[in-house]
Amino acid sequence: MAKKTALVQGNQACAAGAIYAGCTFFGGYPITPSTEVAEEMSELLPTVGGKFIQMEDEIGAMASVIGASLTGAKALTATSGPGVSLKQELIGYACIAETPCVIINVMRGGPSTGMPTGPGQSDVMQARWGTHGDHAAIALVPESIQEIFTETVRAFNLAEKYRMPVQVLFDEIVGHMRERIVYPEPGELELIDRDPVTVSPEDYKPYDSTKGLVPPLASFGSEYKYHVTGLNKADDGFPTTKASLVDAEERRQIDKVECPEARADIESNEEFMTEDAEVILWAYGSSARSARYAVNELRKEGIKAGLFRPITLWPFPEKRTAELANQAKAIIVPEMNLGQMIHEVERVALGNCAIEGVFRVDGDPLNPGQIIDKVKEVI
Amino acid sequence: MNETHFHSIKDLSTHHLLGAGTAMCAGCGGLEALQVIYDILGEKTVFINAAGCMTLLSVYPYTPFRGSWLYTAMASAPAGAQGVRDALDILLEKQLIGTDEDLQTVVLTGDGSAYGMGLSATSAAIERGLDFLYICYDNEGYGNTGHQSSGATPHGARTATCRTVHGFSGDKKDLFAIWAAHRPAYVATVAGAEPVDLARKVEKACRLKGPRLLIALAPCPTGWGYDPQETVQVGKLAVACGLWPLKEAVQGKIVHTKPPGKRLPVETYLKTQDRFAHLFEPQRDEQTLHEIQERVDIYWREWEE
Repeated sequence: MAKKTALVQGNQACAAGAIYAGCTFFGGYPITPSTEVAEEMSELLPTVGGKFIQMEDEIGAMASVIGASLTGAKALTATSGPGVSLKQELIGYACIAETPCVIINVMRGGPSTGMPTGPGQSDVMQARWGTHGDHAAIALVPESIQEIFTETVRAFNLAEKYRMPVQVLFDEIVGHMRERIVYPEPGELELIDRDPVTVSPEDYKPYDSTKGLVPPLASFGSEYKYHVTGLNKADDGFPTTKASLVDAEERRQIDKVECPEARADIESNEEFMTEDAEVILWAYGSSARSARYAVNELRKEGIKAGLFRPITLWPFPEKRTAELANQAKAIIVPEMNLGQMIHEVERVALGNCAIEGVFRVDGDPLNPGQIIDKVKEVI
Repeated sequence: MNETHFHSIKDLSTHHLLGAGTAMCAGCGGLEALQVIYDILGEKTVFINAAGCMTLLSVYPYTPFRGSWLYTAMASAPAGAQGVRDALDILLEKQLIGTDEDLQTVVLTGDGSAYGMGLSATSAAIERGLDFLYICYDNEGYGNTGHQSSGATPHGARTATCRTVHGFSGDKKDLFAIWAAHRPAYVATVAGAEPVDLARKVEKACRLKGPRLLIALAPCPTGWGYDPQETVQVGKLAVACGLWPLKEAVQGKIVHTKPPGKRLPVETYLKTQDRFAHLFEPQRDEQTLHEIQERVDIYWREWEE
């Protein structure tokens, strides 16, 4: 039988992906251009026995998501730049308390209110360093409606597997654009649930990492009772200022995402015509769509261009970006901001090739012509 | 001193200070109230706004206002007003401006901010005795993002995030009571459809110092689902059915300024709007209709006793 297809908006695909992933809780607040995710979840969650709640503000929405997650639900919130700014304290809380959850950021222009109905990609550094303190970050940047669905599912998988908040960032263009989607059948995409707790309630320690960098998480409401705090804590969850414990916990929480095994698992990239490329377009989200078009046009003119598209933006694809910097004469970074990820590209390229940006923050998408002009200027 | 200038609708200005042609929806009940309010406040005002429909009043390159406008963050308008008021006082104390150059500090937000995210900042501003006027245009939902539920959404209404069979199962937050419990200098409910009552209250608020707060019912053709030309009628019905009691509290003493007398059944009001259509079609939701009527009856019975 043919798979179910539909013409849907990116925000609708996101909600459908969340339901597919087993999300049963949404705590949100209206904000353009992400509101349709909430509206869709308000209709879908009751049909799967889940709960939708519209909270009093963005902070409340994030806190409710943390509470639901610690009580066993796969939990989601969706917002845009100003909402993420308000959630930042609790995103840090979810990091230190190691609480799985997914945060959708449908990016618009900024800072502050910026351009609510226009696209932007200026929250990509916020996704890495928005909350204070040292912490790891996972952020995914889909470029299409189909990929919004699959990356939302993957975000839940990574959140549950690594016991931490995962952000999915797509801009207003793909959030509001309608495209054909082919819905995966049940069972077609892998779904990951948090590791089961194997020790007895008496022996359970919520941050016991003796068996791995990611301690199993028990749920409130089960026979396991434990203490959760935003303070630095020991493996039993209780606050501590003991230097050796604080240091070890902080390092472990970063290592669990940034160790080579985890990076290999979390990182996801697409490459298009990079094999012999002399110019690499390093682009993500909807900017990558323009970049792919540019590659095709440049190839017609005999210019060896290729596209490197990170689908996982954080952790940063250091290894492959460094290899491409060695291979190519130039890397061009198109972004709908005034230059954010380009600094990471420069950091790992070590001066091995020319690096140039193509930036746009006027509310219009980057068009292929701008990118093509920059390539011709550089080579 | 307490003598009002507004005895009938003929006493209201026919030349409005607020410029025409704003980006508000046709038939906006909030704008209807703001017209009257601004005429009385006058040009010497500075508006402090939080995200909402009226954020769109001033869009490049036009503004309908004659003075300055500060659009601050969603939760923070009364806190922003604190800074503006204090800095104006500094200028006055240093005689860098004269009293004739002083400005009224006016907070203007929708119900999303007033009933929810901005409530803490309002509570603190009242507690500090901030000399300001707060105007909440209450269209009972997040109008600017497509009418999702807010803390002001009434029992039984459907919104973009509440499509349940019986509509919203909870109750509209009693913001008047919450604000009045702080015992500010003045708090009142108003409606643009009752302009004389509205004008008298703005006049009274302007004569007082300290925190003065108005909650204006803002019938919303776009979010509530009715023809824009019916805005005045919808507002009048809200009052006539007893759903929107017009009242004021001065230092905690509550007075109903225009009690409806023999109240019309709430159905008369509910039937005018798509957001309540599910209570009548495909079959009457007697239970929910009864609950709405009962709430109104209980409210007025308590007052009338």
